[in-house]
Amino acid sequence: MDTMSENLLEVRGLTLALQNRFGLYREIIQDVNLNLKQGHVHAVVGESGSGKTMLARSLVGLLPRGIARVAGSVAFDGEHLDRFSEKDFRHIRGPRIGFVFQEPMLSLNPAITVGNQMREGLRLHTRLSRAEVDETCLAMLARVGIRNPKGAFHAYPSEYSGGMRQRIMLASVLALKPRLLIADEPTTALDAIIQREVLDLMAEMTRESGTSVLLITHDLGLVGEYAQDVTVMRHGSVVEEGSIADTFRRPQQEYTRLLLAASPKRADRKTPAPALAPLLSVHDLSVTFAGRRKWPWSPRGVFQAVHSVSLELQEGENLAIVGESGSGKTTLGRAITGLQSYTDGRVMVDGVHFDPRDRRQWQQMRSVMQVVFQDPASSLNPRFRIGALIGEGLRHSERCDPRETKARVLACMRDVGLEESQIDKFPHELSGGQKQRVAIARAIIMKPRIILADEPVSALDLTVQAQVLKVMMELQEKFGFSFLFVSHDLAVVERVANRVMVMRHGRVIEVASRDRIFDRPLHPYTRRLLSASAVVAEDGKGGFDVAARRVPDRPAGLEDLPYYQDGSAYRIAEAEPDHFVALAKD
Amino acid sequence: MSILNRFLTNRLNASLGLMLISVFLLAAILGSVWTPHDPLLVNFGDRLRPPGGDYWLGTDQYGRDTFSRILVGARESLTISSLSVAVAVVSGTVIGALAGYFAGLVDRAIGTVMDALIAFPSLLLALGIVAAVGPGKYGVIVALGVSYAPGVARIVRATVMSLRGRDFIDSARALGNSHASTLIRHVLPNCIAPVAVIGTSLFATALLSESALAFLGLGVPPPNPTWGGMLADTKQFATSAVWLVLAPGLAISMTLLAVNLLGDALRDFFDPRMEQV
Repeated sequence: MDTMSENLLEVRGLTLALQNRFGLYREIIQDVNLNLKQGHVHAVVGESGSGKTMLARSLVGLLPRGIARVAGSVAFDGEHLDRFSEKDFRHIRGPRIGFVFQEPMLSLNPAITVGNQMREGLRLHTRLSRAEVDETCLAMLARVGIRNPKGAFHAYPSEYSGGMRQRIMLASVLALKPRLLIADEPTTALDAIIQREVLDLMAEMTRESGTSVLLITHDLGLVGEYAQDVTVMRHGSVVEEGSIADTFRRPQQEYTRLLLAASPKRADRKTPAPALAPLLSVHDLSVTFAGRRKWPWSPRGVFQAVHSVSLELQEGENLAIVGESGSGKTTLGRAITGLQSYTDGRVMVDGVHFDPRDRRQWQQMRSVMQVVFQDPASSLNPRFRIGALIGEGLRHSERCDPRETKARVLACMRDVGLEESQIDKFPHELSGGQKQRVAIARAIIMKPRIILADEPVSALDLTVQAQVLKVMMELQEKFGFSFLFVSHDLAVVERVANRVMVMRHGRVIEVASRDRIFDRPLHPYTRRLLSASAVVAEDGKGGFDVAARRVPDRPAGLEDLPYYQDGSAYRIAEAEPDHFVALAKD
Repeated sequence: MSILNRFLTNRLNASLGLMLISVFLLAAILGSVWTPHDPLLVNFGDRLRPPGGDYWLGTDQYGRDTFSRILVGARESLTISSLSVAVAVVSGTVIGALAGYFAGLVDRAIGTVMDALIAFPSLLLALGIVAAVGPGKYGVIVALGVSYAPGVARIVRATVMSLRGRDFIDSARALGNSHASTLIRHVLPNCIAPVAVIGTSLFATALLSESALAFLGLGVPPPNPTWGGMLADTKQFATSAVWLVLAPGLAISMTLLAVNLLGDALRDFFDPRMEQV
């Protein structure tokens, strides 16, 4: 057959359903068709709950209990997988279809050495001798850029970072030279720069071996850069399918357009009028954590999470603190609000020193600084109803009678776009976006002047993220508070920030206005961070362009400053007016 | 009444458990006002009578009426085990919550003491405490309570520590709660499930340990009946006079069943996720 030679994988009318013990079922994927061309990277895009992961799992017979295929057929490499039993699938998984999971921290067995985990696949599926197996594994480890492959062979996964583990995962999956690689959100848990490295590696290696890739993701930027074809899914059905060029340039469906348009873009932001004194100023703040002792008598190691950071925040201003995981950005935010004790430095609000250890000051500060956390599922007490959650802060600050409390709770719920009827619900009855709205309402009911927002939209889907960001900006307009916005997501930062502070390993790398940071970044690290992200932009003709962010050259005269590198002495200097950058001390 | 109603609707285990436990509570109350025979009266003429006739549940090796002894024993056994569980749960929860919440030095200090207590077999520990406090009902309650408390503390500490890592504890602080109100309003309610589970299983252990202490002469002094004591006294008749073992045995196991059913129901009841099911 002609189509068979062209398509490596063909899915026809696939329907999966969730069955309970009474036999009743709810369809979670309806009538899905998918054609994966030989040698192509095909992306499946959708928000959480769109069924993309279940689709991928059904292809290799790894569906969770209770979910079953009720209709449709899957043809892979000219063979029908429909009649396959668990035993047949065992010969497919590994040598013919490789699977890379989202969370490298969880998908490698922590109790087995890297070498033994890699050998497993080759031993099960090839007739290579022991020595040949080891040789192949070592070659693969070297190929994915693991330094000292021999050492890695006897190491445990816990000795490696997330990015390295995902490389090891890739090495062990691709060692079997599968025809198809299914990658389920392979880099979602990784930082931007590392994400790019891993994906580049994956693209390169699959190209070399002629492996096709089914890339499951929610990140349209990645899709635009790495895939040739795309399938957009929503609520278990395919919305649109086609080549990237067609689908992104000329999206046919409203939902595809919505998804593309939901990517945050730079918006005009009023710069607040400079006041005489900043609302918040932080001087030389340092946070150290005590490490473990090796022996009871040996000194404790120390880990310095934040190295004497200073910053200022004006009334009504949004300062974004950007950095990868481990950069100390969250610790810094927690230290400023007093949730984390710091070893050195001072925090001043309106020129007055705020000492979190002073009980009265702590109590007073609650109506000045409020916090919105990243994951609303964990930041809302599951035993409280929405009304009690939002009204919680009022119990302590001002004594309100119940009627007044309820009125204020309802007003806040309206402000953040919640229905009044939701006041008696529990958090688990709300969606992720609604929960985050509750968290925001809980903060603004205190009428704070500063809100620390720690990755407030990272746990949300793109379209929901856009709505929540909009609400946050509208509220700021209305109440005039300032945001300390901690994030790793440059697109979000570009949308909301007035000024941006880039952090790495607990040190400030660069601070400037948003436009300066994005349009003329100076420090090599900032530049790397920017170039690792992709931008979805409207092309003006009703379509969208996706490309890696182009990082402009440094302005003349600033090209070869002695920029700070890991290990060198550190100072922060004003390279141009209001543009600070980390330099090596000379 | 509405809370009781909500608790009972759609919960077979709740109604069943409540029914069973009420039967035993009634028995205990009945036992303190009226018994068919004197539970302490020795009557060698009527030794080892099988159930029936004048003696509804037969008589033991001294000719004492088993039914009367079960009724009177119910009061002793139920008070001892429920009070000792209460002592263990309350003190263990407080200690464990403090250790888990404040961590660091507080945790280390509490942990060392608890570890030392756990290192003793709990019966041995109870023996020592009874020896110190003096035998009798309240000595047994204190002894069992103290020896079970470290186990409860351990579990509460672990639960609190994992809760401590959740953002909602930090948000409670950020909203102006003091440590005390964070602990009481936000942390402790989330510990109900594990405490309910361990509390009900301790109830069983308490019922049996009480009899072990009684056997060693440190519980309720001998002629006074307790279920555990009755079981211990009569085990050599297990084959010849089955009812002697069966009566207290069934009483004990039915009570445990009731307590476990109630424990499960309580745990579900306090879980907001189970509300509409």
